[in-house]
Amino acid sequence: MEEIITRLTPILHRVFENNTIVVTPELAARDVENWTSMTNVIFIAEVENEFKIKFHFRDVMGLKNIGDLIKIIQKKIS
Amino acid sequence: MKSTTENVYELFINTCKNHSGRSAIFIKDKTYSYSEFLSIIGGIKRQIQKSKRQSKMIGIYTNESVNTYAAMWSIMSLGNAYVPINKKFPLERAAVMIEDAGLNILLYSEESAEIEKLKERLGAKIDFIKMETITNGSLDYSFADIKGDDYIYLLFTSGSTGKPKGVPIRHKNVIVLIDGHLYDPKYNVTKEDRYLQMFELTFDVSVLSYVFPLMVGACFYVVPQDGIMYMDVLQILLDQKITIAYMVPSVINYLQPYFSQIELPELKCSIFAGEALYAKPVVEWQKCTPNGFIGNAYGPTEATVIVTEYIWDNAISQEETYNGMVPIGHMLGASKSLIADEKGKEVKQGEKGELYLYGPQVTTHYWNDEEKTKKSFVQIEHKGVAHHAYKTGDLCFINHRGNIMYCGRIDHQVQVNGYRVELGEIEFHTKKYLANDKNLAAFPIINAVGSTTIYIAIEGFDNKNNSALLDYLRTNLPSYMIPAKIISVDTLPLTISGKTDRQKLATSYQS
Repeated sequence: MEEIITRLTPILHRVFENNTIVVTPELAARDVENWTSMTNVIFIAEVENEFKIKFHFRDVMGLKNIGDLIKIIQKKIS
Repeated sequence: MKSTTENVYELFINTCKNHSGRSAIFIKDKTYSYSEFLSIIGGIKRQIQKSKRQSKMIGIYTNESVNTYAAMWSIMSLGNAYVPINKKFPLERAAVMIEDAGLNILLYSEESAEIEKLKERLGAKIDFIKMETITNGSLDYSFADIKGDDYIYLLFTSGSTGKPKGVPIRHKNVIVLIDGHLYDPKYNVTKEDRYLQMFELTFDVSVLSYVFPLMVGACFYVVPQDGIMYMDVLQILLDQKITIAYMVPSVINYLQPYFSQIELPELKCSIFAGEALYAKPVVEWQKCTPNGFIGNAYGPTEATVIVTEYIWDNAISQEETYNGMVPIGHMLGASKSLIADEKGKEVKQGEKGELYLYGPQVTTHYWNDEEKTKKSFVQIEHKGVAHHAYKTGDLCFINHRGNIMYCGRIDHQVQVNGYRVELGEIEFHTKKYLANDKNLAAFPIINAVGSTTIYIAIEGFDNKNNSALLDYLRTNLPSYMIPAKIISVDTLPLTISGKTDRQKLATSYQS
């Protein structure tokens, strides 16, 4: 998990233009300024690119926080 | 089919009588039947009646609650007009709208820091009524003596001089919309239909989603407003087997990566409105909705939601696009149009001109704004007859099939996620912050998924101040008007006539 958080952190900082975001499993869209439909699309695309995975829309739909995202990433890369 | 009354509330009451046990609204995982909904409406109506204030317009501080939706009908039943005030609006913007509308009463659903700030800002001028869901089991079918000329709602749109414009709409305008669109046999609307309601209530397209179903005994399903919109829309479309969906084109723009995974066999109509619809995602969306048709609808708030529609046909529509955009089609019902040159003379088929709209859906004026009313509502002559018309500012032409093609704006207005944005309004507030003579220009950029976003270029601006400027703008403008990027330039590019060349700015920064 720590390794995935380390790789997600620069993506979040870049997409949301905020280097102060602390990435934890509890972090959710409502906690981050400018987490909109557009930035969500960019964020998901960058995560797919970083981990060489592809999300189904149900994967994205069910995400409540970064912890959920980490679980799906772990499942897809294992 | 034609309505037998000019009173929208009367049509609603008839539906309640005929379909009392059927579902009317699904919101926050709960379904309310027509009788339950009417009972809540009655409770709020009684609360309003206890107020000592009198006002033709009554405000609703909107949030995602059955009370908010009920309140609109409660207000209507009393013969008043409702004025939705978005809870996400900055305090000053909300206050300006409340004062401009002349509100004495503001209904709200829950206590919040924003309500406290509004109370502090507006003081004793306003009777703030917290809506309680009081149902006493009885159903109140009564309503005031409502005439077609009575106002039904007042909505605000972006104003280029910094102040939003109030657009008052009457019952008779909405009745014409119902007759021209809802009762169109190709939609085959029945009480079994399930409507998507994705729009924030200060956006007039929401009227199609929460009024239309209640005219026929159908149900509407409210999309949560605080999540990732396009995903929440898809969830409701799937989980609730939606049959009729009014949406902004941005929704399918964002869903493009998942088109091959999406199947919506129950969706019989996808109607897009609020911003330009591009053909590429439409072709793919048709595959996701094999049993439904796709439409593009157009209309400014000043002409009661929508006045044109175009139905996509895979066989022929691709040839009809303009710069990849789907036509806005033909006029609906009794609404009429004229495409004219700068002198007001009708142009020939194929020639571009400004679109003027007239007919029984066009409102008469802006609220409390004679100057803007004179600019936008004009007398025109068409086919030898004088008409009161709305000057849209949209550049259009009629194609060889008689469909209206939208080409863009004549002025500096854009649509962002369906919301009308006057670039001048963003510039106005930015200039106020800077409090100097720096030249600046806001301009639209098409983002990676084909939706519009706003950038602003400012001469000699120190980008270290980006956060401070954005914080200031957020206190005056809604989120969809906040620039996505602030660009510092040495000098703004100019056209030959010496005006700021927004087109060049947009081209330079479009990537």
